[in-house]
Amino acid sequence: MPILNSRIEVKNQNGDIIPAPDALVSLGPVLPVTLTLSDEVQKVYVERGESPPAGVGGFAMIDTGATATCIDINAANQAGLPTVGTARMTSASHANQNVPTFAGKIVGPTININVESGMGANLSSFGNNLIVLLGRDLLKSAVFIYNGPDGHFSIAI
Amino acid sequence: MNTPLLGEELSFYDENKDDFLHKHANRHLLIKGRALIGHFSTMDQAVGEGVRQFGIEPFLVRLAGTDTPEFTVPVLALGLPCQS
Repeated sequence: MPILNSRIEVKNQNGDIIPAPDALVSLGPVLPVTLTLSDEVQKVYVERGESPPAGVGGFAMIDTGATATCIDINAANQAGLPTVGTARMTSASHANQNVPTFAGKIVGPTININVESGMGANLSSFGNNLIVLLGRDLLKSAVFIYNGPDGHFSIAI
Repeated sequence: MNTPLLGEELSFYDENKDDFLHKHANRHLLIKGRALIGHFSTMDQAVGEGVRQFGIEPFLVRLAGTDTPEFTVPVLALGLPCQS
């Protein structure tokens, strides 16, 4: 299983590269990803002689608090991901909300994951070009190490 | 008044859920409108057939007998803890 190591570093006054744990606090454990059609759906486009929509690039945040993986609705629509159902987002503090679910694929360095039912969400309001929250449905197959003092994380999924 | 997303498909599924479970256990159902279009061994196959037949129109794919999935994402309900 390939491992992605991500470390945020800065140069100090002496020009030495040092860890930047505060940057990891601010940004969170994010990795660059592309949201794209599943292989099966891409095949359908090829059968029709059509070009599939281009994938949409952005960032995915590892979110151990989320039970399910969420996909930004605008990014999903732009990438042409099919809407394949609905789901109910529950919250202790807010009214339950019905959201669309999308089928697609998340591709990134060392990552190539089919998402059969990604929950639609408005992630653009968080800024930082966030398009995916990697939830525990996918993390159940992952090893994730968060090293706060060193400003780095590793994930194998 | 807005029509709920996949309202027709979800009603049809709920009305026939027990029957679907009995006839198509462990199969992924592809539903459009009030019609069962097909049943497949994998979700991926069902989605592929859905796109083949309906393009970018929404359709419902559901494992027979399962309920609408529920999930919790605190960051969506409460916001990111740090936006500095």
